Amino acid sequence: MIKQSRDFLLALAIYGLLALYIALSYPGRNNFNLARLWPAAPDILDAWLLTLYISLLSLFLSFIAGLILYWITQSKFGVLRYMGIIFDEVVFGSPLLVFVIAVYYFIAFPLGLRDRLWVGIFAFTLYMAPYMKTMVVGAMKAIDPTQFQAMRVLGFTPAQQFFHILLPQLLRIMFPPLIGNFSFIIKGSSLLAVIGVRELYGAIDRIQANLLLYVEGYFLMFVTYLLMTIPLMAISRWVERKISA
Amino acid sequence: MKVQVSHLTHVYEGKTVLDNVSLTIENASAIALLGPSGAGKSTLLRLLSKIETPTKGNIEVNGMDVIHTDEKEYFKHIGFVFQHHGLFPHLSAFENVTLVLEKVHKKSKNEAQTIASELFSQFELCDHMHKKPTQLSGGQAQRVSIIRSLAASPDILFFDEPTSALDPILTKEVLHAILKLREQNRKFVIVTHEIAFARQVADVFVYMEEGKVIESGPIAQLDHPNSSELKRFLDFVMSF
Repeated sequence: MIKQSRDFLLALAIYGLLALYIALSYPGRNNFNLARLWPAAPDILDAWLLTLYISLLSLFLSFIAGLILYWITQSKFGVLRYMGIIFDEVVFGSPLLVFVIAVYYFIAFPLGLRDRLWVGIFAFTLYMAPYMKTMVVGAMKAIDPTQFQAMRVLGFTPAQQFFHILLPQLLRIMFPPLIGNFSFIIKGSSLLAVIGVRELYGAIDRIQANLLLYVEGYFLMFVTYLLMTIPLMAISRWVERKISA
Repeated sequence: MKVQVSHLTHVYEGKTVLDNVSLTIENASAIALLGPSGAGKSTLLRLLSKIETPTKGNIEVNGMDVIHTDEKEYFKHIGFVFQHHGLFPHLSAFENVTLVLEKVHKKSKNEAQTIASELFSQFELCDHMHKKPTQLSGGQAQRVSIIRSLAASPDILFFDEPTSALDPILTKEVLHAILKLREQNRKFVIVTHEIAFARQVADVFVYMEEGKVIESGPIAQLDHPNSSELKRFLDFVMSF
């Protein structure tokens, strides 16, 4: 344990030195002043909360969409199965940025949907659904096949099977990859700026332009995203340890 | 218990695993399905219990047309114990039993707990009932699985090699539990490789080879088999 802590601190120190080297050798270092972003702090906080809101909502909705996609791809109807497979292929083959733009211009715009925030969440939900489905497939495979037969013979209805037996197990199995997907969503949410959603990236981008504080802005972006994702990873590891204990 | 099977054929992945099997057994309390691996015993058991549907043929169990009876209705009358216990790992042993009683059989929480407690006590598992399946030995888990199948008092229990994944000591635990069922006059059909146990617990046997029933009859007939196949099998099994 002591050796681990020492190694961790050493690794941190090496990165610290590298950061210091970059800071000291940076040409505009004398002008770097984070405090000048202070007037924009309320906007940045709002944007940070909006990013969290978008990400949590997208996580929840895409999880539901992933479950629906799972059922579709397991359906006994070939048409539904192929619809699911084609959707998977389209999403897996598209960069998130392109997908968000495509949903905005090719789906939302013709349908008259103008609320950029909800279009963004909708795009994210669609994009993440196949990833969530893949996670469900993996988790289902981890469940002992005898359980499925036992549920059937014991007389549980499909809803009882899902809510009382499968879901509690699936959530435990899926928790680590779910957190991984959540982190991906948080990072990916920055791309919603391209359709004009004023989330963290979009908001700081605008503040940078208004206050002409580009380097400070980028630095703040970097740190604020990490403030969301690193604690998430730590929680995920902690829960994983708890589950496997 | 009455089991009637006529012209039963089952093809699985292009292979005929049951080949035109016909069989009538009446007034049996416990039927042992015997035979070498790949004989079709487990397949016959799964067809009798409606877990699988045959390619061809008819099955009647206690007068019920197994193939045409609604699955949910048929499963009310039977219990099934698998090779692997199949307990739900997120629930305790006790909750594995009460969940079935509460959700499927609509018992109140109190009723479910009373029934489950009684069964855990009968099977001497009271000390383990609040453990999760991963904290139980293989034998204990299999006994909990028997309790779970038994909870709703089915007319017939089906056992598919319930000791095949267990070592000899744990096997004894499970066999004792099944013996207890026999003492309680519960009706069951069991696939087993434990010939000595089958003699002790069953009153009727069915011997199968390569998807066919070779011989069946009262269990005492194992001492004087009619067919050369069964004689050879018993000689081989008993030679060690």
